[in-house]
Parts: sequence; structure tokens; C-alpha cells
Amino acid sequence: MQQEGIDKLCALSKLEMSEEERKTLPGQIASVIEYVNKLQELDLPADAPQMAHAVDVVNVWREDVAVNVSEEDRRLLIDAFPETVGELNAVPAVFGNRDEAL
Amino acid sequence: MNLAKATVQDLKHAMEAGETTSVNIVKGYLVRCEELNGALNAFIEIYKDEAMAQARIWDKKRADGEGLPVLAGIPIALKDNILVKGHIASAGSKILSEYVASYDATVVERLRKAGAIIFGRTNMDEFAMGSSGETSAYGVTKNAWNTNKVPGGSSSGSVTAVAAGLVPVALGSDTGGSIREPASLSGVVGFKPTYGRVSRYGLIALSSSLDQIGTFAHTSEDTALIMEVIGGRDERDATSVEEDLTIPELVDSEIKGLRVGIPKEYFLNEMDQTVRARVEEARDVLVAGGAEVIEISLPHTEYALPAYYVIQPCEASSNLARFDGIRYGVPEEGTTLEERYLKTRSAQFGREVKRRILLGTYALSSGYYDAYYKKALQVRAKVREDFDNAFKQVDVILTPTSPSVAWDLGEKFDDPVTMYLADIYTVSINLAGLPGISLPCGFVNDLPVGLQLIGKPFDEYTLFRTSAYYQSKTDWHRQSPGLEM
Repeated sequence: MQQEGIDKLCALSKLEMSEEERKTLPGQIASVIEYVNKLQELDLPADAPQMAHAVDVVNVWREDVAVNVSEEDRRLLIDAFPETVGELNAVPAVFGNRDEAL
Repeated sequence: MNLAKATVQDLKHAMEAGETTSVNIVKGYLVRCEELNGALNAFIEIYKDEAMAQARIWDKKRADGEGLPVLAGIPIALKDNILVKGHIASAGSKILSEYVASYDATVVERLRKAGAIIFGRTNMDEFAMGSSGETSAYGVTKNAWNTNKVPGGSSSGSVTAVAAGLVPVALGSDTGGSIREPASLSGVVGFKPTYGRVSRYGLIALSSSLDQIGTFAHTSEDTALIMEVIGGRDERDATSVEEDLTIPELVDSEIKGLRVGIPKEYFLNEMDQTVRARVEEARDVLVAGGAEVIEISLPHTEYALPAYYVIQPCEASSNLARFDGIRYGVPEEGTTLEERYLKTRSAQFGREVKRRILLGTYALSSGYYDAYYKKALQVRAKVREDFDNAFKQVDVILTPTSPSVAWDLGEKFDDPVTMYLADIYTVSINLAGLPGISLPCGFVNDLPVGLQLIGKPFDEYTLFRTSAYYQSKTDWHRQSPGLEM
């Protein structure tokens, strides 16, 4: 796999590689791709059935209504945010630098 | 009582007979953990005070003559990807090192209701990606039989906890063999239920169409007991199904007339002949009990592992997108959202996780989707069709669980394809959504060998019955790794 291809994959995956990973990961990924290429040996019609799941999945619906949670559960949920401002989940600016966004 | 190989049934009987108490049992396991966990690294955290408090409650109820649920006062360990309210669930990853679960997984709710004591969280390969127990951010777990060897993975801590007698039973999760393969390498019973049998609500997802929670135990009776507690439909997991899971008495199980399929594709000439010999001896035990052996063919076997290593990374790359430093993760500095994502994920995911995210992203990317993901789903349908055809002729299928016994720590760590081949006998069962169990069936070079039995969808009972018969005729599951204190 070419460096350019790896860079593109990293960008899509939101990952950066360290110097050391740059030396090892591309070769390892190429070896796995080579292995899974065995799939191409099997000739199947383009419209052969596909199986994404072992059971029929039926969506579970509920009414779109707010329900109360206990104070303990609410606290646990808020505490699980990586970063908070008061009781809100803090998110960095989506565009440009922080000052502009604010 | 000797806790090293104690079963849940042993502990229940001893408590019922007034020979011991839950407090004594929990204390006994805590002493064993104190002595052995440092060297084995099976547990990341033990809930000592909570476990003792629970044990006292159950002892009091017993003393008061209250009616007790089926697992009253029995400790159980959980793989660290199963959520326990108020406790960290790390999935073996640095990125979740500070994540505290805000709710109990369905299996935890059901275990608690049945009286089980949640004893601690066990080490695991990071996000369940690994076959050796070496990719955890919390250190390598060791094999209870030989601490220079891998215990198998990804449920490495759960298997070692049971194999070393640190708990009588544990839960793991199995996506491509992550319960059965370590059970094989560590000499215990490992069971993966039919896909849909157990709710995945509160299980940190690796590959949602393949993941299933299952058990580690010493016997098929204990396995069935835990399964009856944790199985069944749950509204909160759309893939869980309503199927009866009443398991009749397993004592004195008979297998006369049982049709056992031997897939020729799983017994190739180039396989390890010592492992093969142990598995064939196990087959002969079933034959002596009146089982009929039938050679079968599962023609797409050789394509199952490549299909698995497309589907699983694809689903994983999607499932792990949520670990971004915003909703989960310890955020690394970054002034923009993009920078936060990059820095947090890059610093806190381990190498195997990165490999699989990149692979999944590759297989799903524009121009490659049809050749990899779509093709893999087509192969998956063929693998299931092979099993459906085979089960027209047989009741169970018998194979080795793993192509080898436990290998040296570090031996395959930087060679992903060689590592992935350890799952060659287990992944097809996940692709097809079938139940599978691994039973200890002997030793090679003083290391355990595992026998795999594969069942029809939702026919766990035949697996348990066959396993109970096999265990009544052999004593491999009673052998101990010599960690007696």
C-alpha cells in the first residue's frame, strides 16, 4: 500500500500515525488486505444473496416523549462527559479557531 | 472447601448444606486473587467491599429462611466491556480509562436479580480485538497453566479468572471466537450462545452483527445455569429474540443415536496432529456412548476467515467512530473539533485497534465496497447455507476449537495474519450466528486442548447435553493448573 493511500485512510478514520507506526502499520495492513483478497477467488453472481445479520432485525419504536431520570442517573450521565461547562457537554468549535466561533 | 476448581453447583450445595457461607466464599476468592492476580493480571479491578456487602445480605436472607434466587451469593466476574452502573468500563482501552457506566447491562440486571455477586471486571484485548490477551492497555494477561504463554483472547481476563480459580464463573463476549478460543487455550468450558439469545444492551460493541455475550465455567451444568439467567428477549436490543431457553436436567445425559458431523474441511492433513489426536479421542468418547459419526462438508470454510476479517473491521470502524474525545474518551488538547478527534483517537487507541479501523475504512471506501464488504456478505450467506445443509444430516458438529495450544507471549504480536489464523475454527460460527461450546479434551505439552461443538440455531440444549455426557466420561475439566495455595 502506498503512503498516499495510507494518508487518505488515516484522514477518513480520524487517526494520525506516529513515526514508529508509519514504519510498521502500512506493511501489516497490506498483509491483511492480501489475505482477505482470497475472497476474489470465489466466483459468485453479482446478485448472490447477502447476509448482514443472523436474525431478522425489527426496529423497536417508542413514543417520542421526555421521561424523567433519577438525579443519580442524571449525575452519572453528566459526569461521563469528557469535558463539561456547568452541566453541559463542552464541544470545541467546529469551524476555525475558538474566538471566531464564539 | 477447595475453591480452585469449585463449580457453582458445588458452592450452592455447600451453602444449602450449611457447610459454608457466601461471605466465606467471597473471602476465599479474595484471598486467591490477592495471591495470584498480580502474576496473572486477570482482573483490572475487584469490587471487594461491594462483593462482601452483597455476600452478607445473601447470608442474612438465607439465615432468615427467605426463598433465594438461583445464584444467591455466587460471585461472577465480568469482561470489562459489560457495563456495571457506577463502575468504570474500559473495554481494555486507554480511551475509556475514566468512563463510568451510568446503567447496568441487561445481563448484569438479570444476574443481580438471580442473586449473583458482581465480583470485578476482567482484563481483555482492547475493544475485544485480539486472540491472545496482549492488546489491552492494562497489561498482558497470563495463561494460568503456564505464565509464559498467552491465555487466548479477547476475553483473556475472564478465562484466566476461571482457569486459576479466582471465581467459579465469568462472562465474556465472543465476536469471532473470543470466548471459545481462550477457553480452549486455558482449559475451561467456554460457551457462545446463538446470536440473538442474549441481549447486547450494555455490551460495548465491537461488531454488532457478530457480538454475543457468553460464559466461562468448569462444567456444562454451570454454563446452562448461567445461560438460563442471562438469556431471553430484551426490548432494548432489537436483535434479541423470544425463544424458549428452559434447559432440562443435564445429569445422566444420554447421547445414544446423536448424529455428530465431522467437517472434512476442519481436519486437513497440514493441521497440528497432536491437537487432532486429542479431538479424535473426544469424538471416540461420544461414539462409545452411542453417537453416530457422519462426515460432512462445509465447502466455503476457507473463505470464512477472509470474510470475517472484512465484516468485523468494517463494523468496528463504524462502531468506534463514537470514541472521539467529545462523547467518550479523555480529551487531548485541540483547538478545533477535527484536531480534538485526531489527537484523542491517535493517542488513546492501541495499534491493533488502529489497524482494524484503517482496514474497515479501506474496505468500505468508495471503489472497494463491492469487492470487499458486499462480497464478504455474500460469502457469509454461503457459510450459513453450508451449515443449514449440514444440519439436515446431523445434530451437532465436532471440530477442534483452536488449531494449536497456547503459544508464547509476544510470539505472534506483530504479525496480524498469523494471529488471525488462531480463529480459523471459530469465526464461521459467528458469521452463521450459531451456538458453539469449547470443552477441555486433553493436553499437548502440558497445555490444554479444546474441543468445539457447534449446534443448530437456538438448540443450545443439544450442546449442553452432549457436553454433559462428555464431561461425565472424562476428567479433563477437573484438572488443575497447579496454582493451589
